[in-house]
Amino acid sequence: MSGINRTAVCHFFSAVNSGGFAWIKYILGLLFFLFVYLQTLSSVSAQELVAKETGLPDFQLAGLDGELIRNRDLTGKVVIIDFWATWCGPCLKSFPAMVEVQDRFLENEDVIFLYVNTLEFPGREADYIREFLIKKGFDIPVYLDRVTPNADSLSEKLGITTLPSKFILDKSGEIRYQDSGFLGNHQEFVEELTGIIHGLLKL
Amino acid sequence: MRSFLYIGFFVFYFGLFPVDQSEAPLFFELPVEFDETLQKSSVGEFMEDGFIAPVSIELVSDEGNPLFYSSSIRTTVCDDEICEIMYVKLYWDLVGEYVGFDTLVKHPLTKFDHEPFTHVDYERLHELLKNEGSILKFKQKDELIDKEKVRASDVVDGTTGATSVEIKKEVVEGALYSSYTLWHLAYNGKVKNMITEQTALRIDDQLLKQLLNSSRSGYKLFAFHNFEEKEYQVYRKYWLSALKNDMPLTRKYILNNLPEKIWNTKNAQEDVCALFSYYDVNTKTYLLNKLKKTANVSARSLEYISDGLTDLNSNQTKQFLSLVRNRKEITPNTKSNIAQASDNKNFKYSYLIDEYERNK
Repeated sequence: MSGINRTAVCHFFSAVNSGGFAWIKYILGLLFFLFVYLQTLSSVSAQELVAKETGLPDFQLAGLDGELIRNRDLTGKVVIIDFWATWCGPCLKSFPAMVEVQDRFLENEDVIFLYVNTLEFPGREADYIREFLIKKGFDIPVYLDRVTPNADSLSEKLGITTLPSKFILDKSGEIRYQDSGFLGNHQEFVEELTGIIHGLLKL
Repeated sequence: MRSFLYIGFFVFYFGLFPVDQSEAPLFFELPVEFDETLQKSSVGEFMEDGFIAPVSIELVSDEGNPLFYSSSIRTTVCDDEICEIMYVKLYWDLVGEYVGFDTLVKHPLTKFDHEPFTHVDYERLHELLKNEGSILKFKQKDELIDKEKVRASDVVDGTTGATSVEIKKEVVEGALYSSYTLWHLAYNGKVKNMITEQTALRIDDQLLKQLLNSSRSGYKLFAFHNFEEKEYQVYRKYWLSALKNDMPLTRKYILNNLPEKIWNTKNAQEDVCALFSYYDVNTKTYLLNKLKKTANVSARSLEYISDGLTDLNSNQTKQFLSLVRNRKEITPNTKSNIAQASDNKNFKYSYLIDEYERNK
């Protein structure tokens, strides 16, 4: 509905004032209290939502060979999610540090690294990304953010507009670390992430 | 009780059915009323390096009259440390000149410290985007920052010590790369070509009049670019008015493209020469050159030029005198103007008239 016909509203109130539609007063009063009640309900819902937002929304990711991964596959694990794109220079610059952290936890099955390709240029599909990573010399577990062309992506659900964006989830799926960009300090970054992961494994 | 009822009604009504927000963009230079009656149609799209989605250009019309073009753009902006997706809507007029921009819902423009743009920042951005001759035009992206200084001062936002003063003065502080990217979008050659092609396809008498009656110089020039001989006949008052009032580029275009059939008539020549005093120096030279190549220059045309004889430069004076020499007859007023110019001590080139008189 667009806008309101002011003349009609004026006529309406004239009729109400003249007592022609006395019953309408009661209906309107009722509707007003209903409105106030609904507003109260919606603010309660908003508070609940904030609580839920500490975890990831429901999602599906597709590996480069088509294998799917869902929230429930990650339960009980510390999960490191790195959102990246082939056009994002800082993302690629952070990969060596990410791989070094990944190598430190190679033997630990409770730690999972997901390199989620997102916000990609059109036409850069799985094959392109695979070739791209081989050329760049990165052997990392890459997942596509959009399982089907029209599906909602995890980055959209999280409102990600900057890359790289990194998240670390604890074993219960709560987001415990979130950062975007890469300042370029390799060793500092490696130690910081390693420390966080060790801390979350102990929980 | 009654006022309580009214408040209740309005709160309830607008809570359920919010009035549509105005679609007027943040900044927009054309006199257009934004409402639901405007029609939008896609006229094409293209892909560009650095874009994560094709750029789709939309034409907005009112009852079939083309008004302007727009595009909702999603592009990447990167510095050395982070990449951002920038969402923005740009607006161009019917000849592809930038006229405004808007942000998209939920996507305010942000700086590299993730702070949203302030109103002052948006205003500064609009000023930058209006400036077709911005210094950004001549800069490559990697020239924006002095990398040595970045390392020395550990600057990350890109517009402090590492940015040259001349660039810093023009861009939005803290949003160097966004400013750069948006300027290059606003003046993207592919966009301009697509828009001018689309407008040209839609040229008819109504649109031609709309363009000719516009106060936008670019519109008039574009209309003249699409003139054929017939239009020079029909829209005579428009091109004469443009000769009198418009920018030199438009004047030169008209003089250069005026069909011979029209130019060789006494009336047209005299109408054009009657405006001589309004012309800039280059147009005056251009007209004198055109007259030199013209077989029959009317005596009245020369009289009009002689009215401003003392405003001519050396070469123009020579050209004018040469035109007079080639004519068998000149009007008494022309003779009088030449004589007065010869006696005018403030006219630097009166000696040329004396030489002309001696060699006559």
